[in-house]
Amino acid sequence: MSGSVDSDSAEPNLVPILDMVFQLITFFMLVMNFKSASMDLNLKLPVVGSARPAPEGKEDVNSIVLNIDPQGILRVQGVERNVKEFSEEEGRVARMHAKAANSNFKDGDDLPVTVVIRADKETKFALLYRVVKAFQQQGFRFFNYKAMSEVGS
Amino acid sequence: MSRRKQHNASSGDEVKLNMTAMLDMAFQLLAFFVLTFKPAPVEEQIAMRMPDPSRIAIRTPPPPPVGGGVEPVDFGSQQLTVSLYPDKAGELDTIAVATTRVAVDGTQKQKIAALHLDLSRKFAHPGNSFDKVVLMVGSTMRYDTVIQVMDMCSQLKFADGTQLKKLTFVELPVVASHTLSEREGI
Repeated sequence: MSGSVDSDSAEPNLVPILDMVFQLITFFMLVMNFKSASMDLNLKLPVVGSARPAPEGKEDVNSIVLNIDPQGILRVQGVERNVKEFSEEEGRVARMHAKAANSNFKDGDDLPVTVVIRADKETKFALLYRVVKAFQQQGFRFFNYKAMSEVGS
Repeated sequence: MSRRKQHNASSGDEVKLNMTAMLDMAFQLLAFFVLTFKPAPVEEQIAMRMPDPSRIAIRTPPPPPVGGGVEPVDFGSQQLTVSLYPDKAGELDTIAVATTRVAVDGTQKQKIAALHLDLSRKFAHPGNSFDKVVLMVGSTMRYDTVIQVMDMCSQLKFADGTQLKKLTFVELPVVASHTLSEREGI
């Protein structure tokens, strides 16, 4: 009749809620994207019909992301940078790494670094070309011009 | 003895794990991931290998004559020059391929389509000696326009079926950048 167990307590079972929370954590961990820190999401990229998606896993291995706004201001990782100084600095670093990785690398050889250009569609060509030319002069040869596809826009 | 029996009866074998602390930590983690979640747009790209601009032989194109026509292009060099002249709004005003004016009237889309047609004919001609295309772009041209032309050029194929791989762009000289209409006093 009178047991030792207190029959008035009602403890909710926390196991299902904990399970759901772990499911949500797993979801957000899997979709977490560190690349967006290097992208200026205020830029409106041009729309083209046949741009190709970047090959998975290869794009960001060795690349520099440059964001160019309609005024021609260069931003890297959200920070405004001087075009000449930044290109010289990146060229120097890229050459140093290339020499360390390949003893046959000489000054004047093409740098194995991809320059990813994210420019606003309203940017004037002269402003864009100023940035591209600065990097070309440092030995960068591989350029990827980002755009939105017609489907995704 | 009875005390021991009572002690054994009340302790039992059931062990309860207090989930509250674990749930609290899990919510903390969840809050962190939710607040740092920022969906990145799906972007595509046009990949180009661009040579040193000083190595590109730039010939400032003379004012292109009116009219067009299919003709084999051979300047003794291996590049085909496409000049893009902007209007005041930064859109395409006139396009010239080598010394031939390709498109003057129509919407931007129509002009790019006319350029595509002209280039396709030139690419298909077996007598051509060029293997690269150089876009000479007016300084005030919108990037949107330039990339549409680049996109179109990157799909061109030669007579043997190989795709154009050498495509680059440079800036038109300042004088040549003025719209042809301004230069010709129209």
